[in-house]
Amino acid sequence: MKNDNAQERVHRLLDGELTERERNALLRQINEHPEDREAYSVLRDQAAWLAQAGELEPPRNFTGQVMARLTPEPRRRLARLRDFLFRSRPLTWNMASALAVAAVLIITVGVAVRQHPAGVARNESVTVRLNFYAPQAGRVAVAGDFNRWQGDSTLMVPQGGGVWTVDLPLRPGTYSYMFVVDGNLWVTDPDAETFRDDGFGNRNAVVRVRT
Amino acid sequence: MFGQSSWDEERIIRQCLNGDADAFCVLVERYKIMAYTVAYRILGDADSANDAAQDSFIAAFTSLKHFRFGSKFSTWLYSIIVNKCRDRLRAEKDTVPVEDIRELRADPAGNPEQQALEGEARSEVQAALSALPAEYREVLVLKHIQGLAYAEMAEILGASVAALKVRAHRGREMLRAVMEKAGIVYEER
Repeated sequence: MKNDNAQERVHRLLDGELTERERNALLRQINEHPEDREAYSVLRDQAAWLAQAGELEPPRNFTGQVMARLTPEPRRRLARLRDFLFRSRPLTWNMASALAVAAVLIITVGVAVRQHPAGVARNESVTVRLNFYAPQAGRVAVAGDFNRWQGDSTLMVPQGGGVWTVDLPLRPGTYSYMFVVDGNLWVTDPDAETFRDDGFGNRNAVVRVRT
Repeated sequence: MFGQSSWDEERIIRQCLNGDADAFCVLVERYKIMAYTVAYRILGDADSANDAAQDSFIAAFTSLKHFRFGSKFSTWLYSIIVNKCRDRLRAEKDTVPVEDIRELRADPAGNPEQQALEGEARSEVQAALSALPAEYREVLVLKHIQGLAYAEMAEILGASVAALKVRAHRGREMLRAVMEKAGIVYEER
C-alpha cells in the first residue's frame, strides 16, 4: 500500500479493532485508490485463506501411543508380579518338610490369637482426611452421618490455592457425607471412594473406615 | 461455581494426580487434533508433528502437579506444544527458502500412504507458512488457523499483546510477499 497509515488500519481491521466509523472511512479511502484496494483484498483473502486451512487428523493410533508412553514401567512391573503370582510351578515335597511347615503355622496362629484376642479394636477411631477444591468459596463445611447432617458444625480449613481440608476422627464403619459451600450449596465430593443415592435424587459421597 | 468443561477437566487432572493415569486418555482424545494441527503447521512435517504432539502430552502429564487450577488446560497445553516445536526448530533449519516452495508444491509426498496421511496439509498454505521465520509462523497459526484472541496468545507465547499484534502484521506482510514471489494464488475452497 502506498499509504502506510491505511495499511496499518487494514491490519487493525483484520484484527477486528476498528470502530464502525473508522471501518467505513477506511473502506471509502480504499475505494478511491485502486492500488490500496488491491492490497486490502490480498490481506483480507489471505486471512480467510489461512482460516480455512482447517484442522488435521493425527495418525489413527495417536492416543494409544501416548497412553502407552505414560506408564510403561509400572505396567511392566505389574506384569512381572502377576506372572510371579500366577505362574504354575511343579511342587516336590516330603513328609518331614510338610510337618515342619504345619508346626510353624500352628505356632504363628497361636501367638497371633493370644496377642490380639479380640482382633482389631472396633471402638478405636482413626483420622480420616477429606479434601475439597473450591477456590471461590468463603466457607466450607462437611455434613454427614458422623455429625447428624448438620451443615454448619464441622468446618473445613482453607489450605491455600482453593483447597479445603478437614480431619475427622471416625470409628470403623461406612459414612455418607456432602460438602456444604457458603452454608447453602450442597456438593458431592468428586473424589469420594464411592457414592450412594440419598433417595431424593442426589448422590452422597461415601467413606469407609475399615477394621 | 465453575464452567462445566473447566470443572470436568480439573476433575480429570485430580484423578491423574491421584495415580489414575488412564483418566488422562480423555484429555488426549479431546485435544489431539488441536495439538497435531498446531505442531504440523509450525513444523511442516507429519512425523515431526506427530512426535512433538505426543511429547507435548507426555510433558503435560508429567507436569500436571504444576498446573494452575482455575486456568484453562488448553492454554497451558498450547504453550507446551509451542515450546516443543521451538525445541525441534532450534535443532533444525526452521524455514524453507522461497525458491523451494514451487518445488514443495510440485512434488507431492513420495508414497501413496504418506500422501494420504499428509493430504491437504501438504498444501500451499503449508508451503507458504514454511517460508516464514518461526516466530511469525506461530503467531499466524494461533491467530488465523486456531482463531485465538491476542490475550490468550500472550499467555501462551509469553509476549505482550502489543508485540504480538506487530508480529501478526509483519507476518501477514511477509506471507503476502512470499506468496507473490512463489506465484501462489488465493483460491476459495
